Amino acid sequence: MKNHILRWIGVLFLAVAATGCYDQDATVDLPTYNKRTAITCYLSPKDQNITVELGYTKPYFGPQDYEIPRVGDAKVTITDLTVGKSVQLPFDSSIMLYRIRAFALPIMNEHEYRVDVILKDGSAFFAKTRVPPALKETDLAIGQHRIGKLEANNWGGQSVNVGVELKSGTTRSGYFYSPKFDLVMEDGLGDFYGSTLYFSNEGIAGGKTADTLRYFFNDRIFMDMGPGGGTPTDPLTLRECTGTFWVMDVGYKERYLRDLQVSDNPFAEPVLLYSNWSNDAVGALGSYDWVETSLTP
Amino acid sequence: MIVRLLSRPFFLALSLCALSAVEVEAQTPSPKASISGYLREKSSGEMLGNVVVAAAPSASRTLSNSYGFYSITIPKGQAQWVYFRFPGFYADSIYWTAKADTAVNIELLAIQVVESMGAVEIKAKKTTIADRADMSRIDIPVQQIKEIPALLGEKDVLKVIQLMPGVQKGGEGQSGIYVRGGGPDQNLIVLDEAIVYNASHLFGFFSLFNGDALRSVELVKGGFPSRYGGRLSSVIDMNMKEGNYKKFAGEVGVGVISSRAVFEGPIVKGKSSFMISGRRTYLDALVQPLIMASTNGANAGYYFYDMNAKANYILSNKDKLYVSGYFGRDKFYLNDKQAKSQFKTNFGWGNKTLTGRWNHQYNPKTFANAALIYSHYDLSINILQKENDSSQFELGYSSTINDYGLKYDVDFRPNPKHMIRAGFSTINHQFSPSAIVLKVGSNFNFNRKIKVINTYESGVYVEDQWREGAWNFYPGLRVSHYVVENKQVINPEPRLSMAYNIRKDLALKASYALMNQYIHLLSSTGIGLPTDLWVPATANVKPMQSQQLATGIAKDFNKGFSLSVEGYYKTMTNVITYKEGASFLLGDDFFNPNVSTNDKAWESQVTSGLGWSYGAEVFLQKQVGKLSGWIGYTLSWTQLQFDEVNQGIKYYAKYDRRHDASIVCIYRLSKLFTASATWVYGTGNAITMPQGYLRGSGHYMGSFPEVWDAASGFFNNELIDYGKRNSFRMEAYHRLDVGLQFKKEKKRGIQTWELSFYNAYNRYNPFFYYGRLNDAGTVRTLKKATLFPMIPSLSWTYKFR
Repeated sequence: MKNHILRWIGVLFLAVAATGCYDQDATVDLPTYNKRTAITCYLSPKDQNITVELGYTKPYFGPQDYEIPRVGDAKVTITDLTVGKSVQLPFDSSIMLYRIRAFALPIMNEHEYRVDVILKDGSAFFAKTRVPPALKETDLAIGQHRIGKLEANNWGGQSVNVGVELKSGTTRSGYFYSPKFDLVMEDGLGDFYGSTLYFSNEGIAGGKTADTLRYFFNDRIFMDMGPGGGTPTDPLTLRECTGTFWVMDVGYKERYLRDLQVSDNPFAEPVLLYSNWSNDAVGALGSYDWVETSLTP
Repeated sequence: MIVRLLSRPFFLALSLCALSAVEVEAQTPSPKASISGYLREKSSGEMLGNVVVAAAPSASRTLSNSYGFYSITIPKGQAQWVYFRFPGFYADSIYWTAKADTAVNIELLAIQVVESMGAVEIKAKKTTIADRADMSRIDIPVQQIKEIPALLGEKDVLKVIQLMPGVQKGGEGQSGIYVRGGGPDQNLIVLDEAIVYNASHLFGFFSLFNGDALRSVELVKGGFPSRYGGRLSSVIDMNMKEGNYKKFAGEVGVGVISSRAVFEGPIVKGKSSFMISGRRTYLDALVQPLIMASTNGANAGYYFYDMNAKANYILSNKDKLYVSGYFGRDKFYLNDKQAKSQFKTNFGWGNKTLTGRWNHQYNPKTFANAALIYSHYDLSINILQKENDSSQFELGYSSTINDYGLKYDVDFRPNPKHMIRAGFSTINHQFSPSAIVLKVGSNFNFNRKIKVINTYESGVYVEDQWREGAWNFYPGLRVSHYVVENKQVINPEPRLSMAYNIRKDLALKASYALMNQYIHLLSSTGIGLPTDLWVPATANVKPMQSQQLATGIAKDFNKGFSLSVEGYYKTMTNVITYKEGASFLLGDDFFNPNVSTNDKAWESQVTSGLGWSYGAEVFLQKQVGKLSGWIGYTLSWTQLQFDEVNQGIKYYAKYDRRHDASIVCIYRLSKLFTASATWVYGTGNAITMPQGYLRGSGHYMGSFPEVWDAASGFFNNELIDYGKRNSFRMEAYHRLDVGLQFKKEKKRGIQTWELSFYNAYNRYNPFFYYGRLNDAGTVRTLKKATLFPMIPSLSWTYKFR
């Protein structure tokens, strides 16, 4: 009797295991799709053009296609609020963007701009940005640096630990700063190797009036093959360093960071799209500037 | 003169009267006389708290405290019947002429003891809820916890608490509890006065608390007595069994995934006792051969264990010492060692508590308890990866909390109208939120030894249960004091509960409570994973505060039914959450050597905001008789607002649940069989799901563009539009669990077989959702993952007598 009962319990467990309840179709209404107007525009005094990308979001669930949705029949204007001048941006069908040469309305540091978009159906959207203050070449300097010894890595190549300190000049509150730089190292055989280092989200710092920022970069660089296919050889010496120093407004920074923060973890809170447009449009109107300088090791 | 009677039937009362131990001691004369003493369970000698003690005709009444102490004072010369009533026990009474202060220790007889002796069933009088001043408080019947069917047969205190109105579960299988809109960190979980931080085993599927080791469990959701502080939403106060003072006893149980045992007995008969219990899972041993076969010899597994122990000693009729402790740990391990490589990881977390207490009765009206408390929680993650001798990656992550506490409470019962409690507590919290050791190769070492953050949390309180005719008042004041980083905060926390008895069995109630919380839980998932980080309130991250107003009505009916209906409104300030996209490791910049001096990297990852919760709860309970159980229903709304989340727009919390219902039935078919069933229903969680996507915009995301140009500056990426936060509702959750217990009396004890079915109708409740694109890439559908289908389980328990 006991064996009989145990057998049935075993059968019961197997039956349950076989029901396999993963990957079920959801029996709930799909998330509500709201078609939202998508507008992206980044302004910089360094750009030769003023460009606005205008499109809309597409449904995440249901039939999918790979079209890049664009809207070409809207009225897009940009206004320099500081001097009170506006221009309309025409739609360039060859690149599917609204574009005008920047000399029509120069983008100036510390000027405030407003972009207005009016769709054919009358829907109107706007956003504002104040272009960050100009940077000077002397705003970035290299501080202490060190280059480690070459090591074999798991992929059959070599890696090296590099540490570099960058110092920025005076920054301003309300704006955000980040450096990027290109290194040139010489190895023991006299061959040169290049590498680009940049910061991700941790490297963007809020400016502080009358304060300087210091950035420490310590990373493991995977070394490519040298000239003629040779492998790098110790010791490595830093020979050149070219730095680019970025300044951006909150719109640019937020959009940039949100795009980095996409996670596949189904339990993590998803990161919502950033938007500073009115009327529930998605996208960002941001502004930025940069300066490039050679840094002496 | 004292005459003692059990309630009914009279003949049984008379016969049992002879078995009762009554201790009588005449004391100093005064204008009034008190009767005081301790209430114990007859079979084991364990103390009984919350026993109703009422005297007639003086209509005086009181409750025993959690140490079983009671005291009633009335004018001298009056003859009184003094009644003692407690659910699950036969009511007892004594006839007392108040001539002098008198000490009487009472032993109540549990109903099951009589049943097992073959006597006829007698319905005990139940505790009435209408004549209590406090509201939003539920005594969880420990015996019923053992009779309610559970996942894999693992009896779980927190899962039973989730069945109460106003308490929501987090998700499928989770032990995390969400009380009246509060998060899992807002519950003060106390085991023998020690705070327990992470109350879950197995990533939240089981709670730490082994029901075999518990004597009482009390849940407070609102109208908080001022002796409690430090959390916003609830108090779950648990006391371990003291152990049997009279004889050795024990219980062993074997279940599908774990086995457990509890032993108790006298150390010195009638003077001292002990209780020790333990539990361990054996999933790791069961699946080890499968893992080794499928992974070319890797050794991997998961287990948890816990131990409770308690000992006590009655020094005199006025002094008693207790020492109790808990120790439990979860561990996941993997070691894959090959000829030239190794991958090894250990992931563990655990709690330890130790409490020493001294009860002292100063006089018949005054009782005091002093406690020294230690509590510890730690989490550690260690990863080692070696490809060969020259390439090695090591990561060690740890987070620790140590609490050292001192507590002193005094119960003073000057007359039957007042039951005054006062006291203080102070805790030194020592936080080490995230220490990291990272080694890459031979020349990269990152070692961030976190400076311990010391905080001091203290409270002084006074409260009074004051009865005046048909009115019951429960005013209280707590003043909390918090010190961190040489800054201090003092917050008064007024509390008031009141009740008006329209009739003896019908009362209107209201309460107000202001609470402060000086500790936060950072969770990137909201499901209570052990990786969630406990952090203190600091100068930058302010303490949370809540104010809760509740009103209600309580009614007692015949046949043991009671009904309470309550409405509440709660506001919360300085609630914190991770900023969008942040997580527990993001604040740790491994590549920044300067960070090693920054011991609060998490501060930059969080944002604080506001919370609101309001709703109504209905609780219909039947505690006695062949059929017992309850029906609970909650209608509620919970919203949050953070400036840096959801663009500052108010949104529904993940566990906002419009409707939440539970039905629990336990039916004693006969002396041998008990059938039980629970059915739960809850509106689906509010979650954030993709609605649309945005294609073709954005700068190149590896570095900033050198020059803005449409041809190269635009990068064809695809960004998901989630709409507003938590704007999608998961499917409603519902589930039926059924169980059947078969008890058989053996020569030396009682054997119980239990067969239970979790999710009996095999409902595919969603655990999470995701989108799946078909093979052609032309259609994306919404899919769900379900965790538990119908799961049968069989367990066996043997209780020694």
